[in-house]
Amino acid sequence: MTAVGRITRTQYVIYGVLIALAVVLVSFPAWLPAYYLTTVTRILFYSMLAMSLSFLAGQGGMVSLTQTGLFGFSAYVLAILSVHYDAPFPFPLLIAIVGTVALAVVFGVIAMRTYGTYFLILTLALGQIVWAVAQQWTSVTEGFDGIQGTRAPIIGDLSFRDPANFYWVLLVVFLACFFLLRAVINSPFGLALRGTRESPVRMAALGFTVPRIRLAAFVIAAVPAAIAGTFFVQFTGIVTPVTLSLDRTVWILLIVILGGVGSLGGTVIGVFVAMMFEVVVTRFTERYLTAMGITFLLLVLFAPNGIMGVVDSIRNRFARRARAAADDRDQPEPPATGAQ
Amino acid sequence: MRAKKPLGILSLALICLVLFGVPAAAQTAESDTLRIGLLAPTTGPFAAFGRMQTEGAILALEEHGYTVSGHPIEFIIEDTRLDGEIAVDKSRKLNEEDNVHVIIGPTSGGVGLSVLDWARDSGVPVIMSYAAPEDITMRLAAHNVVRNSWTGAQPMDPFGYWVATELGYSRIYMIGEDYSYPYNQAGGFKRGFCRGGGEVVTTVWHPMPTEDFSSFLARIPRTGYDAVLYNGAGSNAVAFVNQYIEFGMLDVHPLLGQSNTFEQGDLPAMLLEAAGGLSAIQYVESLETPEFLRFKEAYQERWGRVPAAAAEHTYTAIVMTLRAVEAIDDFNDRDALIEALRSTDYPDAPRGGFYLDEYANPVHNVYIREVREVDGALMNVGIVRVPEVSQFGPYDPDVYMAQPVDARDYPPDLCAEMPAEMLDVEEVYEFVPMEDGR
Repeated sequence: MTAVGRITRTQYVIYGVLIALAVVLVSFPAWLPAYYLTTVTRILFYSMLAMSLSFLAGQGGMVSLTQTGLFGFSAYVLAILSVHYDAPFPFPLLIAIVGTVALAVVFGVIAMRTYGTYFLILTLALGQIVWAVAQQWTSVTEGFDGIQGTRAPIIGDLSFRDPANFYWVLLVVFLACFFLLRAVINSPFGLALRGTRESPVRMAALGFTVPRIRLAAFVIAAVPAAIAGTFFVQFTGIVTPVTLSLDRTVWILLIVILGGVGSLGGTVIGVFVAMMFEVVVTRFTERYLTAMGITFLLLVLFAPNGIMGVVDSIRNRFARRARAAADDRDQPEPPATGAQ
Repeated sequence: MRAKKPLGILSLALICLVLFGVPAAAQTAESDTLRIGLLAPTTGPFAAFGRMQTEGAILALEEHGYTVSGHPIEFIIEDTRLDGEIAVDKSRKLNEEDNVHVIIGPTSGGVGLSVLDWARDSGVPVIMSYAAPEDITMRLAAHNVVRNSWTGAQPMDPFGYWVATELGYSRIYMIGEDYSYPYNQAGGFKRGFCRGGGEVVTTVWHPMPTEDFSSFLARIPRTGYDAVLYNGAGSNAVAFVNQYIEFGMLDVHPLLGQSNTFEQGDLPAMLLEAAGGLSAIQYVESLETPEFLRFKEAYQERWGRVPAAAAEHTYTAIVMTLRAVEAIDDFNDRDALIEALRSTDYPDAPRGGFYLDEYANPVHNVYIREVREVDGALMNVGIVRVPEVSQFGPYDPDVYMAQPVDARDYPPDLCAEMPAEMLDVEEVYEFVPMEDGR
């Protein structure tokens, strides 16, 4: 088997899977039952929120408990502008995203000089500030009851209130966020960010401005959270303080751990598994949270690297076996360099 | 290897989706089965309410043998976890997957408003059985949403009027939980109280939840007020009432409550000195009408405890639904079902007869109740019955709805600042002393 032939065959497989996947994802509205389209829609916007945390925690070592706060802030801004002020599309949307990124800059500047547990606690406090404002500034946020009545826009004849149209837009935006975040991870900036995670002191000694790199990562991570918030509020029609409560924050953190910290694909799978788990388990018992808790406990005990950790170890085993087989067949050839 | 990672992941996701999704999609809806969905918080801090709601509904269904007009009934319970977003998702599930004909509704105000917002677009008939924001059946009313419970102001308007006219109080000091239901309760109380000749209702709000009320209790003036009204419920109410007693405040001012301060389920946690506390709502456990006694005994036999308002409200919501279905030819005709629900007249309801007004909110008795010590335990005893109380009280609906929504700082504390059209109306209430529990 020549090297050229192998790459070509792999490429065929890649392109085939990609096309099949694209067809399936795009055609969901045509054949998936209505409630499952609803669930997939929720999976997509919660995945964007989870990716935001997964990127920060995995690449920058910043376990941020502010991400749901940013998500909720974005949802609130959109809801307040479109429901209370009747602002026309696209202003509420743009202001929500830009405003959230601006808030992330402020929060980032405050949080950037702390690491580890201190960063965790500080971001917890920042997230709780957003929650407390949502809960108590009743004249603007309507307090405990939240704001109802946000709807997706209708542009000309095209109604994004239609579940299929909404889903397609969300899918495009989701894929864009996914691949852009991947590009950031694989860029020199991503490498520098991982450097600050491993050793901020050494990175500083090498001439990098560590707080600036971390701040940039924090602001980049705010973008998918902000966009997810706008989709969330336009899909559910409501936003309440529960949306950005500590419970929701911890839920997202658990999902990221479930999927495997740092892997964007794993994070999406984590959200998918958690959501489907809920949909399936609640058919049989109302003790969904108990079942989820036990599953999580088992996972942490037996697969601490999450679902992606399991996937990786299986793949490594296959790669080793393939390599061993190749070694048996053709002793002089050195081991394949591509395998991990 | 790294480039292939997302593909592997996404295909894995796809396989899972097919595995999970296809069996569920294969389920089809039977066209001759009536399907009813219940949204209740069966887990979390309001789980006790969720349990009572579930029990009331199941009792009603069992009494009808899970059939109506020869059709079987399927009953599906979904947990809202007291979260508006979850409630909307569960509503979608009930509609899109279970194809329910009616959804019986959520517990708290915010969740109720969320479901209303969803229901307006989806058109599914919803019976709000415990969510009390008045705008659900007023300024935000949707044709397919009816309510069989109450609005925050509904029991408090006659209560305020009664406190002013019958007890002769003119100055009240109110401490309340800082969210919309207590605002609405305060609004109803202030309107009734001011019409009855009251002068001032000083209002103080405390954050949710509060465990230690000593700073609030210390601020209550010793003179210049006729009574203190605690405008809160649940664990806050237990803490407030007990601390009020322990601080010796009962010797200074008598204590009144909002509609849910002295809930039957919370009374065992209160000190016996709480006896004497007054409150008003459309339900009282001491009622001795044949309808209520029959309901109470059936409920006790089935579930081993005294039914609370939450249980009665889902019980009557189920009965309303079944009667509406019996009255029309085909329950798959959604418009006919909605019209039948909106024209509900339920003279033999356990709480006392009720019918829905043109905004689909019940007109029913309000009971003014006193906490009494009976055989060493506290319980609510009805002392006055106010028949046919509407959500608008004595007001014309258009005049009422032209007012701002009740909020933290509206209506004003001083009766002199109350808008004239809120004071100058013909009184409609009749206060009937309750004898022999009726």
